[in-house]
Amino acid sequence: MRAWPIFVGAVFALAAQLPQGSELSAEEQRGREIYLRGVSPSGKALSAVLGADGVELPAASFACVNCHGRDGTGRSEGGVTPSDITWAALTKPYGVTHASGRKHPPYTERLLKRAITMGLDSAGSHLHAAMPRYRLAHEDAADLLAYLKRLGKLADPGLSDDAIGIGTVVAGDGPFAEMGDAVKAVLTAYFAKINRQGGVFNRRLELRGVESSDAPASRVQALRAALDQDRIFALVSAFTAGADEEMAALLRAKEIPLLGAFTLHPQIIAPPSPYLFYLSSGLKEQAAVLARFAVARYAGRAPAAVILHSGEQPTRAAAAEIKRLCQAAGWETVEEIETPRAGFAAVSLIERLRDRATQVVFCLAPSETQEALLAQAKKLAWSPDYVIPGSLAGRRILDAPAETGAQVFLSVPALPADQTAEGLAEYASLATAHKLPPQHLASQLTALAAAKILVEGLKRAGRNLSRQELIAALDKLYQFKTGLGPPVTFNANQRIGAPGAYVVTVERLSQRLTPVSGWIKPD
Amino acid sequence: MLINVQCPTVRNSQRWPAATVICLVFLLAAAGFAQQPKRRVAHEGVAVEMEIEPVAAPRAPLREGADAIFRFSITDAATGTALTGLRPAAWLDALRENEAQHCGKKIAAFLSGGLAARPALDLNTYYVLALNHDATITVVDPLFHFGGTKLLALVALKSPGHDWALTADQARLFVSLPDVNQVAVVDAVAWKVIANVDLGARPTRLALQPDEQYLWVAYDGADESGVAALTTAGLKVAARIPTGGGAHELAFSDDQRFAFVTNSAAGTTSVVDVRGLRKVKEIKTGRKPVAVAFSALGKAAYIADEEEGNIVAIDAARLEIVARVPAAPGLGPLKFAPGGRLGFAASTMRNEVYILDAATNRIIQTAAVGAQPDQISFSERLAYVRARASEFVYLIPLDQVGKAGQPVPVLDFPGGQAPLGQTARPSPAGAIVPARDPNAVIVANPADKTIYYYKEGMAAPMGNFSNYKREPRAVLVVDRSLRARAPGVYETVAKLPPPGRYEVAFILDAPRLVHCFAASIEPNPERPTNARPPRVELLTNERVIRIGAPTRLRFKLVDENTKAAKIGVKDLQAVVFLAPGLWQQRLVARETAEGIYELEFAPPETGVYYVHLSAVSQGLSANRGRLVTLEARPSN
Repeated sequence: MRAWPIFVGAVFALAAQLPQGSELSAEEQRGREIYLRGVSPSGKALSAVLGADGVELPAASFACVNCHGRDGTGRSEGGVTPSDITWAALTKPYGVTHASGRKHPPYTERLLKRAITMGLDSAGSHLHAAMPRYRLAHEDAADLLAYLKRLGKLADPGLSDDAIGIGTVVAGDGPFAEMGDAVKAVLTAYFAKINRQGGVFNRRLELRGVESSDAPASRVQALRAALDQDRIFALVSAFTAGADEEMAALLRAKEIPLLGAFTLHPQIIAPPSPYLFYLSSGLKEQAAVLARFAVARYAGRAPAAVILHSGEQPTRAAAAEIKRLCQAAGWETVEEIETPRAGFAAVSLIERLRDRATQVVFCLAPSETQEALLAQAKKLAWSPDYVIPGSLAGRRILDAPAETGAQVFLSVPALPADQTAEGLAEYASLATAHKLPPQHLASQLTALAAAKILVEGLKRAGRNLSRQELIAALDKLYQFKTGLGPPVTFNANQRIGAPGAYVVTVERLSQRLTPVSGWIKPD
Repeated sequence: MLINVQCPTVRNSQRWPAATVICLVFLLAAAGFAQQPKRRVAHEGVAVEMEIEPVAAPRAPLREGADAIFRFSITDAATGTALTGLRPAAWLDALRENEAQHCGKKIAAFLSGGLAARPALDLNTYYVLALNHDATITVVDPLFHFGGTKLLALVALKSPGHDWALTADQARLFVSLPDVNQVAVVDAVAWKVIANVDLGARPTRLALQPDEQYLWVAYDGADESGVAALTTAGLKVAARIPTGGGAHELAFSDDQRFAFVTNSAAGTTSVVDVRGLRKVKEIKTGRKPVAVAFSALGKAAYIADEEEGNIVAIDAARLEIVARVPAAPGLGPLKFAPGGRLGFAASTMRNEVYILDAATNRIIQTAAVGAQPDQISFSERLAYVRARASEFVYLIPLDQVGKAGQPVPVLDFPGGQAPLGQTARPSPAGAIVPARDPNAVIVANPADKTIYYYKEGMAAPMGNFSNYKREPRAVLVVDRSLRARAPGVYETVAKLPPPGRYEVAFILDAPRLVHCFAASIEPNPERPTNARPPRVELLTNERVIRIGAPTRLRFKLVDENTKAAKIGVKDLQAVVFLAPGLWQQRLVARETAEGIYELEFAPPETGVYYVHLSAVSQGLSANRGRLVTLEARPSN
């Protein structure tokens, strides 16, 4: 896959709206907003009063969800165990006895309102000091109560008693259409296999493909329209390249997890989006791996180096990363050169680089540029070391060692050793049974790996499924082996399952790829 | 026991009333004489206040032999806010004459596992309870690290117990007594039966629902068979719900809305609404359902059928069968491993364990174990399978299962000499239970009349103790370490040792606080003074001895009441043994001066030697007497 050209279309202004819970009344919907955000939808005052001193602070910092969780059952934190505030738990006919010995009779609406506003339980005892007393308007209290009665009983969109809607995004036309078909085919085959075995916790997996024209803007638009129909619970292997930022914003707004996006530009920002789970490194991370490899390879020699890139994102950021790391290692001459797609003057560039005794060429330019450069390098008998992210390497680069005697180093996110016989056999049996296309094998294996990780997450999340439970389960995956690539680990700070890459070199005669490094992490 | 001397105020009085004067004198005397112990310590922003209070009479003085609550209130020193979620530890140790040992060093010695240091009371211990073949429960302080045990109590029941259930705060134990149609309620602090609740039917299985509102008692009578809900607070039968014929097993949905009750003769599983106390559904689950387990992850109850060999899943929301998973005939036990995803079932006919994945409702792995596997339990890392016709316990590492079709690694260790289920009165209660220490279990072997302690990773049990000539059919572990009873208040109960001056060594790991509180215990006036054994003072300081060289140990015996040397004791004996019992020697001590006694022995090899002293005439028994630990090293 090549880098997606920069997306210059209209950026959709995403209304910062919460995803609509299914079948919530307007009142419950407003209550939900109070529960999740601690703000009054009608703009009324809403504050939290804390401790014996009565410090009053905006309730937005003390939203109910922070302690009681999305399902209302409460998560222990810092020695405080928030009460289970689902309506069924609060209204047990025989009341509640807490571990601390505090007892109280069943709540009524009136008593629950008193608990929220005055900090007294249904027996009139003080609630734990960690529970603020909320000052809120009558209408807001009524909305919140209406929602609290539904808490824990609401299914996320795309989820029913017997099915889970899993979406993917593919380009319906253009150069990536065939790849999209292959990805859809392998996902369909894998889900059919899971469903034949009884599904996951008695739910079938239903693939809901979102197809649009190749243009990034139309893909975003198509995804938004599909999500608005509330039939997609989570996304897998979506083709986000070229529209990464917009898709990430959309998924964050809709709170929908995406596993294994097809892109070279993972949206790793601070704080990282909890909804995005990437399988392997993007261009920037690969660039960092290559820079680290080069620094180690030329240890103590600080050769003159050049970074060629198209001037477009994400290659520009990747180039900056290489420069930063090489300079930090003491390399004095690290030049960044933009090589425009059209009108690339290879001869003058080579002459200039040769004058400066450039030994290392980090090539982030597209394959057309690589071809032009190599053709001239052969004529001029110039043979530096080429260091190239594997995902940008064109076919011709494999000939360079034989033709010019140059060394070529590529970063690759997986080695054949990461693929187990079992993992490949599973693909082979799917391919036979479902007549999967022979093209785009790498993309198919990546999609299958993503789907396997998703299914593992669903299995760990349990029958009481929600998007948040799925995200929590995926975030606990540690060195999970798909048998199709390196093991993956996710947590709140690690959004790329296998961050890093191997470096391989191209054998001069056989043109075979041979590993020259172990797994290198980008940081 | 908070020292609380209230003196009348003198501020508004010109003359000092007699009471005030006496009180002040008392205070001054106390301050000058014994330095009234400080019960509160504050360090780096953390304050700890200690109280020791007799269980029977909170304001009474601390007397030997009484059960006392050790209470530590831990607060933020500045704000007084209770500090929760801490793990304090404490020991009561005799304050020895001229002892200048640093409190921290003493605690380090206690923490190191007790080879060289043994406190008078370990307040971080646990007890092992055995449900015996006769009408008793033994309560034992296992002292696995020291050798020897301490029988703390023998709870007498009206008839032999069948099953039991312990409350989460470990304060109450319920025991079903089928022979007398009653459920005994045992106070697990004082170890006394406080009530026997009449059921009017033969109670068998017991189950506490997670919020402990009701204790569910399965009963199986000739004319009626079902479950009764007993309120745990009032000990009243709130409802009797006939469910169907045959033996019953119970499981609760994790939201405690439903109890699933199997009826082995009726071939059904009844769903009981816990809030409404009524049967809401009866589901045909197979000809002979014999086990039920709830998967919190799968939100479904799973029922194993012995005759049909199926495991049936009932969805907890729909109360309908959602899967029927074929396993093998002869199914017995069924339990879910921690996490609720992998269910473990076993066939007593095939001698196999089946691992069910609740995510897919399939048996994904099968393992061969010993003859008639009938109980399954879990530690954090292992599944334990008891095979009742085998003396071996079978272990399945939980981190190595869960992948469909993969072979299951099975390990084993001998849990004694006799087959583990060999008893005339089998109990459904667990015979292999997690010990309090991580990665260790306690195993009951009824025919051996022995309880074993097994540490994971070892080839055989690390220790064992005889169950005082009784058949242990089931075991329970009661944690007696400091537990939070209220926010910031950590408590435990222990039996006070002989009179004397003591210190309570206390440690809090994070935030770090180490302190030794003074404490003293008074003699019990009701106890005949001659019944109190003399105090043994070791006069030899050297704890490292040399192989082959004669080692001389000198002791002084002191009368606890008169504080005078005890002269002329003829039967002071010692048993010296090389841990863990590889060699032993019995010695008689000689009196070399008035009240001074001497022993001599030569250690045959390197290792740790225990010296237990006893003198029957003085009431000094080997179990309760002074223990000396010596380390033998090669002679240079």
